[in-house]
Amino acid sequence: MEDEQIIELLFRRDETAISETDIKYGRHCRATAKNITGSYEDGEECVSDSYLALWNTVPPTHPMNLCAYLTGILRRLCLEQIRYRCADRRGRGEYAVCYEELDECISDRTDPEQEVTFRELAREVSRFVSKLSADDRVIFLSRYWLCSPIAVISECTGFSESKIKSSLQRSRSKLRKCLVREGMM
Amino acid sequence: MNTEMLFDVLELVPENYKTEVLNTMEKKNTITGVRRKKLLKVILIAAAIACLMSASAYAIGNAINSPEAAERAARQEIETWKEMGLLSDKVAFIGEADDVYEEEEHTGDEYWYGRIFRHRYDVRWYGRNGKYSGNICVDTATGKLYAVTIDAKADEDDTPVGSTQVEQPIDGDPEKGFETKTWYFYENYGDIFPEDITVDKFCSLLAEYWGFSGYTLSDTHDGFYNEDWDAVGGDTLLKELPQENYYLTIFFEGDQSGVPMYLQLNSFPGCVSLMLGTNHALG
Repeated sequence: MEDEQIIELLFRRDETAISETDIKYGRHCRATAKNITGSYEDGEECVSDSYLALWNTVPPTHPMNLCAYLTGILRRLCLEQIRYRCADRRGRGEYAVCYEELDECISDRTDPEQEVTFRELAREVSRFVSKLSADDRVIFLSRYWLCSPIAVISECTGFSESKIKSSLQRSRSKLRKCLVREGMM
Repeated sequence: MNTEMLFDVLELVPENYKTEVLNTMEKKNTITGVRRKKLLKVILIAAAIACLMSASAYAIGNAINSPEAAERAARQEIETWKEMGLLSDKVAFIGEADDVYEEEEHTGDEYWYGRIFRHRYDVRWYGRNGKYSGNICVDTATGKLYAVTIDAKADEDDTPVGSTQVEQPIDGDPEKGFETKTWYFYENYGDIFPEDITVDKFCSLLAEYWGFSGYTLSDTHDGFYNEDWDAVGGDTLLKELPQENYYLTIFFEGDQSGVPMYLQLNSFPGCVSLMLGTNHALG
């Protein structure tokens, strides 16, 4: 079923919208949730909650891209779950590994006294991402937005794992420089 | 600023960049060495069989050549499945099909989960007026079903096995406020297939329908789609597959493509679902 048809079902409050969403995006959601949380059961819970959130927010929202919208909801729920339930706020999934990678990139230059607003950081990170090459951008966001394992990114993009690791290292270095230059670190 | 904030702001990157990533991760559109050879072998075999099928179809005329014919075939084959004991006698799609989509044969670029589907019609009932909804996919060359999803709504006197609360806009209008509703979950699989049918019996009947000589149940391990299931024993009741979303892989003997069939049960608010399919209609 096309996205517009699913959205129409949501607007008509037809419950088959949920089953159609699961048919179309269920596997992607479960894979993403498992990657982030590290647990199939925890991920499954987040997937169910994301369908509920989709039902509760559409309408009035009319997503331009249903998959991206649903993935955003799911990602937030997974991160919330990890931060709420795990003592280290990182969990056991790929998110924990991604966290370590980004944390190494910035933590030694972060001044806890320095206030950076969410909006300022969002603007700089969006600017940084837009300046990456298309390949580096896909790799960077696959890794840190979707928390995809490097092996999976390699399989989907066709790039070798070593190329992906190099790309991520370069991108993290550029991100660090960008944030330092803007006075956020 | 901290690392958590960095993860959170990634949610605000432009939508087109997220779409770019999702499209890349959705399609396995770049294939390396060994997989390229395997795919090429599958494509060549599928193409050879397609030629043979086309030749025989040309000789006798395509079995299905219109949406109307596809809907008739879908109904007829569902009745065949009921007679064979694959489906419950209760399964019935009320009224005309809501949609009939013609789907062209997949090319190599549309490779999906190892399957390259041939020319087919996807006949859909959305269940607005009845207990059953479904996607019934008909192979145009043979008129046989090759992929089926059937949902059955629970009856009013069915006992739910679980529930969850949801907030919904009153009359579908958020400005009127929200109300709390309860979604109930059921296990009325007996509305779709016989309650006492085992996995072995079900697969045997499918093999018979599709003209294969036998089958093998298999584990499902897929890193990308995160399927990680061990095969069940054939004497397991179909309705008792281990867990919701459990995915069973089945290889059919005589299936020249070597591509596995899938079988999955799901429970949604107010209904249950059976999903199964292969990419071959004949052995």
